[in-house]
Amino acid sequence: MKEIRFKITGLPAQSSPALTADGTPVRLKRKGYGLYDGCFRTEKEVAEIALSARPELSGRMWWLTALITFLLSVFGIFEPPYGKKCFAADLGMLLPLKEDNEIELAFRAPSENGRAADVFAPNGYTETENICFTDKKAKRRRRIVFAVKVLSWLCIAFAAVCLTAKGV
Amino acid sequence: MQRSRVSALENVSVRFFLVRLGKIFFNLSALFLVLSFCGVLSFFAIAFLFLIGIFVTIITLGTVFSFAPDFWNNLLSGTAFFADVTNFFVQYRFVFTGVSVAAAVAAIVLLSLDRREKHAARTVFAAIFIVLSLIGAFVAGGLS
Repeated sequence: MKEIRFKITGLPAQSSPALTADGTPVRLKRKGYGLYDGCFRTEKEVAEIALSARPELSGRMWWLTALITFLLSVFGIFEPPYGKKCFAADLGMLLPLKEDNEIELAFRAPSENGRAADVFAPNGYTETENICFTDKKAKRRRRIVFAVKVLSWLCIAFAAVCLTAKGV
Repeated sequence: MQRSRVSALENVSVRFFLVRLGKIFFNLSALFLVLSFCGVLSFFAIAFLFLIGIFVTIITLGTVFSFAPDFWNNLLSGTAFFADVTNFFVQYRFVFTGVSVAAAVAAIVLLSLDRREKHAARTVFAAIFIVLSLIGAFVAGGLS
């Protein structure tokens, strides 16, 4: 059984990477600020590694989760803010395997269409994908959530003023 | 490959949601902890107001009444307001405590579901909130 040990460093806050090896999700554990560790075992000679990092609002059910959290947090007052920079990253590589394998993915500062991370693998690797980009969909959704929040606050303020005026 | 990546990202979305909910419940728990303590704090505000009145009277050797004849009346109307506030908070202390404890428990459960990150600080503070809000309820009960 061959073992691959993953080390991910430099991931920006509020980004949660999804790592797969040969199509199987690898469980990552946070070890510190932007530092993640993971481990994967396989019998194959070459492993196909893929890592994707997406902003919070890029999910399919974003509207439902945003609505639920918006209502539960009293119109967004007690809600932690969504990440401002909606950077996403896609990494893919083929890793030839020996008995013991180590791979380090050191994420760079996000830049539009730049390289997402530097890869350090003592046994060598073949890169298929390594890109960082702005998730425009998530950015638009973040704007929508913000606009809804502001609109609802204005409506509440207006209703409060009307009710107070009626009371007087 | 693409499908496995998508399903892994969906798991991440669920994690994002649960952690966000945990943080919201933690914030709500802190708010209701403050509300459950408001009864006790406003009671002390009345005592503090009285203390100020006595202090001002002693310091001015009673001359305060010559240029402010309604000094005590004004002070007492202030304490009456605080008494109403105290009554409100003491009356609903179990509601505030209950919501605070429930939100703190929900926060602990949701944050501990996250296997990737530990959220140690929030979990410990949520446990402290539970103890504090129970203490606040008992102290407010003693005041009533």
